[in-house]
Amino acid sequence: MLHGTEVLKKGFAKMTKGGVIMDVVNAEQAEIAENAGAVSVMALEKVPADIRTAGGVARMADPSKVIEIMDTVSIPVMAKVRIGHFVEAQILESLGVDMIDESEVLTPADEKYHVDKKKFTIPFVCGARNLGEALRRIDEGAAMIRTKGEAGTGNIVEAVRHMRMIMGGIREIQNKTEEELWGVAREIEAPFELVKETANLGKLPVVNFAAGGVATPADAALMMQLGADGVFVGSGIFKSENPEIVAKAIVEATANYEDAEILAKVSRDLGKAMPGLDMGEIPEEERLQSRGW
Amino acid sequence: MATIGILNLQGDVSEHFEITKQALDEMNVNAKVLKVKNPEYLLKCDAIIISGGESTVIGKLMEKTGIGKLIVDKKIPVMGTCAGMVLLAKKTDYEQPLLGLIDMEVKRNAFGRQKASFEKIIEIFGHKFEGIFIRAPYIEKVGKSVDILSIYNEKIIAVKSGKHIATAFHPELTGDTRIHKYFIKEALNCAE
Repeated sequence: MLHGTEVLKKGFAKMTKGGVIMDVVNAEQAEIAENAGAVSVMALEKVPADIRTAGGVARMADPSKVIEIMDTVSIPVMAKVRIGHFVEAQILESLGVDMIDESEVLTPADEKYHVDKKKFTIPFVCGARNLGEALRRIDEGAAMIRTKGEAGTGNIVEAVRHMRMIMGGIREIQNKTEEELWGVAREIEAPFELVKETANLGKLPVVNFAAGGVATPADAALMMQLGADGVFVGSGIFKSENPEIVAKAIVEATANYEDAEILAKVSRDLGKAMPGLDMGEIPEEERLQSRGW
Repeated sequence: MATIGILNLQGDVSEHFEITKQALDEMNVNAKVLKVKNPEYLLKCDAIIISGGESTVIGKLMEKTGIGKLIVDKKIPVMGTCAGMVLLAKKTDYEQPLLGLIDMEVKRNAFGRQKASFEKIIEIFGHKFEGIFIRAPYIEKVGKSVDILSIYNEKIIAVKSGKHIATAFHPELTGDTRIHKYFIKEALNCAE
């Protein structure tokens, strides 16, 4: 019997396609997320918007928090580790978390290396801003990619930029010859074999989600129409006025992302969305997306 | 022309879509494969496949769209893998919307969380088959109308009931079309 194979790791990610993964900080929120139709929950100490306000070093959540959430829901539970913090990852794996997010939302633990994700039995998801970054993470063993966007802002502009960079990057390499792909691989600092595989497939070789700034059903549908396989929603749900209603609406919008009538219906009367931040309000050095490389 | 639907609400839909097309090609059967998101599309289908994914999510969306009720009323053959198998059951260990088309009780995530997900060669129709089990369910109990197709470690992992087929594992992730071909043959009454 084989555990932790690439097929099982990438396969797990495939089962989340078309779904919404929601950030939750306790059992009560986890239950709301599951009832609303979340495909998985991300167990956290604080949602990104609060991490942003709190400042200081943001770390892996307390294991008792993660366990509390795992005991509450029947859907998969994910949790975040700091970039490069392989011991936090070992701890989460031993708890039985279903997937680890090596996340720029937490304070990086290593300025040079990401976690060697191939050593783990459970799969990883990693953030990326462009094709090269996505392929580097896949090379390290990531079974799923998500855009970085700019977490905790409720502003979709960065997630859109990153998804366009990734999808546009793929479109650009699709008709290239082998020697041209060698050049691309050098230019975007990604392994040639993965560049070639991506060019042949016309998509990333792993599931590709949107994350970082999704706050409304329309945001979710926008990311899906730009080519996302599914959506992470962080602060967008539990920082809104009516989390239950917003959560359900984002699930329906993600499933029916091409149906404007349904999108119009689920977008009505949601109450106040999370307030949101303009990118101009966030100094360059405070942008979470620039963590990792 | 016959049409095989792939329920397109959540999960590994495109994997089923591709392998079903491949199976039809290999069988030389002239049929269409259609991704089904709403009741109008379902009305065009002669059979439907429910993918892996989260059974709670797919179940809720089937209820919301009315597709669930229509699948039951239309009495078309259904194949379900993993989450799809859960949805075909009469009962699970969790409160959630189900189709109840196969007289069986299913335990969700019965082999454990993702860490325990496994690959194992199993036997089905007297042949070896690559079993991919991801947070997989198994079947705890079946009624008289249900034929057991495969058992692993004393757990029922595949069944047939009338023209419906359910597997706890994911043939759509293998590239092996045999189980899809079996379903298509049964569903469309066609020879391979």
